[in-house]
Amino acid sequence: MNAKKTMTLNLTEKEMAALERLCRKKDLNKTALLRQALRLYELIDARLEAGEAIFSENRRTSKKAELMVL
Amino acid sequence: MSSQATALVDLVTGRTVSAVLHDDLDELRLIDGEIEWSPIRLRSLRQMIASGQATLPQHIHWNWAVKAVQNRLLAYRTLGIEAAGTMQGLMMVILTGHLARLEPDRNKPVVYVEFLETAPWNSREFTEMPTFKGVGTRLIEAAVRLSYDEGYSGRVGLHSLPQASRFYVEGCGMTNLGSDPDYHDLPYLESPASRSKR
Repeated sequence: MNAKKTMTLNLTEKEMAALERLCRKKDLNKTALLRQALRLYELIDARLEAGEAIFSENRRTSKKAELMVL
Repeated sequence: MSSQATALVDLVTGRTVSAVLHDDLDELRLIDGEIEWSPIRLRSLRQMIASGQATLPQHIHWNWAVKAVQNRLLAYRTLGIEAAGTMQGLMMVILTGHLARLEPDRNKPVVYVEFLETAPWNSREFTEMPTFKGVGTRLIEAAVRLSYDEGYSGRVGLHSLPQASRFYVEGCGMTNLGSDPDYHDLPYLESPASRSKR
């Protein structure tokens, strides 16, 4: 596996609570969840850079909304 | 890139042979793989068409050199098995954005197998006398191990070409959840955490 580097992350109480909630929901530890989030962010960014748009769709109403990404 | 020892079966001698599993191939290795495999695929395709064969391999159009460009992103990882000095199989996985569909782990992350291909000389779709056996199984086992390493508890998911579904069910113990209307009606298969072989 690739060598890993360590970093310190400062989060607010609310951010930490959200992180912990997602970790419980997805059955992941904090490192695994944040690595997943980084990969997803990079993937979305690459698609937007390539001219694609990212949408979410309500399965019930089929209504689509464009996902805005920083 | 790191690598570890594994084994394949030489179908000519019936003996087990040493192989190397690479767990993070770079773009150049994928392009090298395509340079080796492509002429053999094309020669086989020509032969199939010339002999009037009705059913062609469903992955005949795959190109690992093109996939290599996608492989630059963190979300993608490509693994490969090398034996006898050549790449015997390749598998590209996505490590984010795909969620389990089977209960009780529904909506938890899976390692999603985007592409898996054995070298054309190992595939019964391309040759009547394959050289090595076990490439696909070793690669799916590697996907399960990667899923554990990533904290996904061994969960693996994939959409299979219809010609390959039987292999994933009978050879890898995956569950076929039926055709997926959101993905070209291809069958979706999943290996849940509790049943995945490590």
